[in-house]
Amino acid sequence: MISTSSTRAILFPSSWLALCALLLAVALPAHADERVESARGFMSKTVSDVLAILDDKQLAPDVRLSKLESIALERFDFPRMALLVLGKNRRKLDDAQLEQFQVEFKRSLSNTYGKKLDRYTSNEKIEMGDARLESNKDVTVKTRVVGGEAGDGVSIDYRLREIEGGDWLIIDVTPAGVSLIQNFRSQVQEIVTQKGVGALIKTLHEKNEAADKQATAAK
Amino acid sequence: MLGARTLLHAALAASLLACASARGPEPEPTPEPDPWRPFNHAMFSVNDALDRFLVGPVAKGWIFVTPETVRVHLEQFYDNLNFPGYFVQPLLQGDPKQSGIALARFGVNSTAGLAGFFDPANHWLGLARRPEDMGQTFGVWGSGPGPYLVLPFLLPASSARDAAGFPIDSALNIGDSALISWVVPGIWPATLLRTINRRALADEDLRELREASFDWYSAVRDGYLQRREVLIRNDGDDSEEAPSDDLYELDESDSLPE
Repeated sequence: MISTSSTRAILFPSSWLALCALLLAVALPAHADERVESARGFMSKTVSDVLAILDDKQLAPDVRLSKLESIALERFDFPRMALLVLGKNRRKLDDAQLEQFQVEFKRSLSNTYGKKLDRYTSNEKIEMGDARLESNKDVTVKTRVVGGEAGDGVSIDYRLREIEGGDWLIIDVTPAGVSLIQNFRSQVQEIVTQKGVGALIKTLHEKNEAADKQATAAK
Repeated sequence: MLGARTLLHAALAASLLACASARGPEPEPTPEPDPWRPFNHAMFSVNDALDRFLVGPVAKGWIFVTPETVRVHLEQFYDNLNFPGYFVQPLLQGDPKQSGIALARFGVNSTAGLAGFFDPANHWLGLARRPEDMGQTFGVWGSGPGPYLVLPFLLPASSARDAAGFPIDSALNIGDSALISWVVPGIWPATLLRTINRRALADEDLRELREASFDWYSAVRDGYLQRREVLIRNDGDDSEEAPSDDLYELDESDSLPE
């Protein structure tokens, strides 16, 4: 009698635990899959939005470019990317400097990304690849640009972070295995170590001004 | 029952371990990638000036007088000559299958591909090109990159590990080799043409990268080091390995301003 009840006492919670574990094991991957699919959906919508603009032959070049840039502004989490790029150097910037840096960084990246997309030719295609869940719950979606002259094509991975409301924002772009966040971070580190924070903001600002001037001259 | 509990415990222990390793003491600091920076920076300036004022302009001339198709096929011809390296290195890495692919590529492309100018091995048989060199093999054997290294002309971006492999690459990756023109003197125009042609093919990418960067020296350094890691992993575009998650975490004090 005693032995049965104690067996039950032991059995019951542990079978309960086992059940929980089982439920978790079943529920978690399903949930994870949903997240991965949702992120992949966001990315494939972004890709088709971009392609729609690129395929629209009616658009004037500057309208086209500004439309591409506005997609970039909408789908990238620029403030977060700026902080990730700063890393530990963040502490060396006061609030005003941080704001300046974020403004210039965003300007630089949307500019570059818009121009980069603008250069795609119509025989290049963007293929959607697999997506995977990262350990911090970000999702990486693979894409591939194929059809260029060189043949092999190039992989571009996008790292996405979920925001409130189940939507997603891009926090890193990794073409051919080179993470932009990591690359920009080492550039920031270099300038800050060699010349200081002031030079960092100044360099970015001058670069953006030069790019804008060039764009105006091209018109 | 016992099985389930053991499993559960194992799972708990594993997740605890995972948490512990994620939140444990500061991870070992990665070694300073560029202890020879003053030297490298000076050499980089030499290379950069050379590229801006000599190699770049000549490459632009080459772009002007040749259609892109010509440049692509010429590059394929040279790349086909790298066969000895593309064959030997995977063997050293314990990947004989890749050596087989390199052998098949060389056989098919040297014949049906008209001396390597065309790449039917890829287009018809789906055997994609995979560049290999001694530095990658050292990497597969477990060597880290070591200090970053820049040398004028020969190694515009390299590392101690990859530079150590350079003599062997010069002997095996014949298409890439600049040294071959010292051994076979008459061949230097071919080496020169290769250099110009490669630079021409990379011209647009280079311009884009220069535009996108705000510190060209460290952008090239980091790009080189990241790219080499990808090549060493050999998983190409099916990479399952992301950059460390740490890269994407903000310190708590760095919360986003709303």
